[in-house]
Amino acid sequence: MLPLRELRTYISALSIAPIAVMIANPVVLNAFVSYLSSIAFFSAFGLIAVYLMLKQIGFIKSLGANQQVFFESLLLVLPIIIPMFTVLTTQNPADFIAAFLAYLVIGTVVSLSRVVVGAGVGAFGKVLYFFFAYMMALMVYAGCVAGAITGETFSLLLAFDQIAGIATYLGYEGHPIELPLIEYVRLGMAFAIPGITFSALAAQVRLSEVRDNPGAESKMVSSLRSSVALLTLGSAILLLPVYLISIAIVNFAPYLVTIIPPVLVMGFILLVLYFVERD
Amino acid sequence: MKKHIRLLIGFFGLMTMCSLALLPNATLAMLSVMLALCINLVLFKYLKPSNNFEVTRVFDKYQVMPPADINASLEMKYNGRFPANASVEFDCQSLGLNINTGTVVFQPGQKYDISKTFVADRRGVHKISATKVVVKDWLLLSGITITSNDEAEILVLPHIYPFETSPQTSAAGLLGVSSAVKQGRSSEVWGIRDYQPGDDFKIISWKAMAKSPDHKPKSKITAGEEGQAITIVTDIGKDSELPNGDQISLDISADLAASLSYNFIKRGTRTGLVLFDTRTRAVLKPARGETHVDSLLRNLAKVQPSQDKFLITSFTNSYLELSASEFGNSFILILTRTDDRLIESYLSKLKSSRDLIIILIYNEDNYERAQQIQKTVEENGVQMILTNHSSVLDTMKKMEEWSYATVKRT
Repeated sequence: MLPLRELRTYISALSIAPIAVMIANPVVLNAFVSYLSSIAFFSAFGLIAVYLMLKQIGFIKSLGANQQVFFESLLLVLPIIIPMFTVLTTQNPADFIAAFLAYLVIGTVVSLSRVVVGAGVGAFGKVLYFFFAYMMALMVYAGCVAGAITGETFSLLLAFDQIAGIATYLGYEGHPIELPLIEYVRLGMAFAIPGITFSALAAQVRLSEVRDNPGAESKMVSSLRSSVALLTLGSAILLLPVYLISIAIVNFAPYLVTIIPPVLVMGFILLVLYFVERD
Repeated sequence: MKKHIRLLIGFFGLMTMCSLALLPNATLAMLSVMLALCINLVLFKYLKPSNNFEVTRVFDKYQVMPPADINASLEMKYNGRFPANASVEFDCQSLGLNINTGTVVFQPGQKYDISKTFVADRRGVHKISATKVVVKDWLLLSGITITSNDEAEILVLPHIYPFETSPQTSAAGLLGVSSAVKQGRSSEVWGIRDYQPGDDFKIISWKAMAKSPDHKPKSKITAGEEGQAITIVTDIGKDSELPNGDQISLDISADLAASLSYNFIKRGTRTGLVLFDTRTRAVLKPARGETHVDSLLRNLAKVQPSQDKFLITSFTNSYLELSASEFGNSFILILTRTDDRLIESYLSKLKSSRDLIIILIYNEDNYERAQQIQKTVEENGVQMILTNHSSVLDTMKKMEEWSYATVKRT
C-alpha cells in the first residue's frame, strides 16, 4: 500500500486544476491526435523522453563537464533542428510546429509534476514552475483553439500573442483570443492562488529543514501547518485591496491593471517591513 | 545579501514579468506568495519570539580527574503565544563536545530537555562556549541569534596515582607521625619556618615574627609535618610536547608531579613545585594542606608546553639559588629534553649536598639517547629513572621507595 503523502502535495495537486483544464480538453486532444502521424512530433517526444530517462538514471551526471554540455544540447536541440530541414526544403512549417507543440506539452507536464511532487523545490521554485506551466498551457490551449478556427491545427503565432503583453507596449499588434474555458480557469485560479501559496510556503519550510538537517524526517512542515495556513489567509486578505484597486482603474487604464494594483500593495507591505526591521 | 531579501527580489522580478506579460492570474499567484513572505517577516519582527525562551544549561562537574564522565543537561522553555522555531548550540572543542539541537518547532508552553554525557580525559582547562539560541521565523528565512553570558570552564586535573602503602602504614606511620591533612594538627611544636601560603593561621608564630630581623610571618613546624620539604621541578620546555602514547610528554610529567605532590602532602611532607623552561615560570613553595594541594593540581592542570626549550645551564644556576630553608633539601627533577649535549655534564654537577632524583621522560624516538644520559648521570652518582606512558606506575613505585628513604634520612 502506498504511503499517504502530505497535505501540501494534495493542495498542490488541486492548485494545478485550472492549468489541467487548459491542457486536457477536447480541442487540445484533437490537435494532439492529429499530430500523432508526424515524425517530427514523435522524434521530439522520443528524444526528450530519452534525455529525461538518462537524467533520471544518473548517466548524464556521470559524464565530464564538456561531454555533458554537448550531450544535453544534442538531445534537447535536435528535435527542433530536424524539422528545420523540412522547413528549408519544402517551405512547410507543419513539422516545426509539431515539434514545438511537443516541447510545450512536455514542458507543461514536467513543470506541473515539479509543482506537485518536486523534491528539493522551495517557494521560489514552486511558483516558477507554476508560472511556466501556466504560460505554456495557455500557449498550447490558445494555439489549438486558434488552429481549430483557422484550420491549421495549431496556430503558433496566435499562441505567442497570448503571452505577448510586453511586446504590445513596444508597438506590436497582438491578437489575443477569448478562450472558451477561460471562465472556468479564472474560477479555478481563485482557489488555486491560495493553494499554490500554501504549497510554496510549505515547500520552503521543508527545503530549509532539509538544508539544516539532510537526513531529517519531515516533521517541521506538519508542526508549522497552522502557521503556514495563517500566512496564506493573511496573503489572501491582502489580495482584496488589489481587487478593489483593479476595479477602480480598469475603466481608464486597462493595460495597467496587472501592474499598478500589485505594485501598490506590495510597496505598502515592503514599507511596513522596512519600518519593522529598522526597529 | 540576506536569504529573505534575495527571495523577495526574485519574486518581485517574476511578478514584474507576469505583470508586463498581462497575465493577471500568474501575477496574483506571485503577489500572494510575496505577501505571505512579508507577513511572515513582519510577524517575526513584531512578535519577537526570541524574548520568550528560557534556556538553562547545567554541568554536573566543573573539576574532574581523568577519565571522568561529565553530564551536560540543557533545558529550554518557550513561553510565547505562537509556534516558534529555534535551535540551541554550544561546544567544547578540546573535549570533542558539540551540542546542537537542530531547528526544533516549539509550541507555546513547550519544554525541551536534552542531556549528553561526555568523557573528560585530557588534562587542561577546557572552555565551554556560551549557549547560542538561534530563533528563526516560521519559514526559516531569517533568524535572531541570542548568545547567553554563560561561558564556562571544565578543569581536568592530572591523573593521580596513589602510593601502594597508605599513609597510616607508610614509613611516616612507622616513624610515629601521621597525616595532618586527615587527622588534624598536633599542638607539639618542632620548630619554626617561614610562613607559606596555605598555612593554617593557627600555626603562625607571632612571637617568632616579631623577633626575626626581617619581620616576615613565621609558621610553627608541628607534629604531623614529616621530614624536610620536597620540591618537584618540572620541565615545561618545547620537548614536553613530544608525543608519548596517546598523550604528550608534559601530560606524563604533570601526572607524575601531581601524584607525587598529592601523596607526599597526604603523608605530611611539605611539597613544592617549580615549572621551568629557560627560566622559572611558576613557583609554589613547599607547603601542606588542602588549599596547597588544590593550587598544585590546578597549576599542573593548566600548564602547557612552552615555545622555548629547557635550558640546563639556566636551570643549574636557578637550582643552586633555591634555598634549603624554603625549598628543602630533596628535589625531584622531571625532564623531557634529551637532545642537549650538555645535559649529562650539568646534571652530574647538580648532585652537591642535596638529595636529587631525576625522572627522564622518553618516547620511542629518543629512548637510546635517554639510556645514554641515564648511564652517564648514574656513573656520577645521581639517581635517574627513565619513564614513558607505559611505565608510570613502575616509576611511582620507585618514587615511593625513594621517598621512604628520604623520610628516614631526615
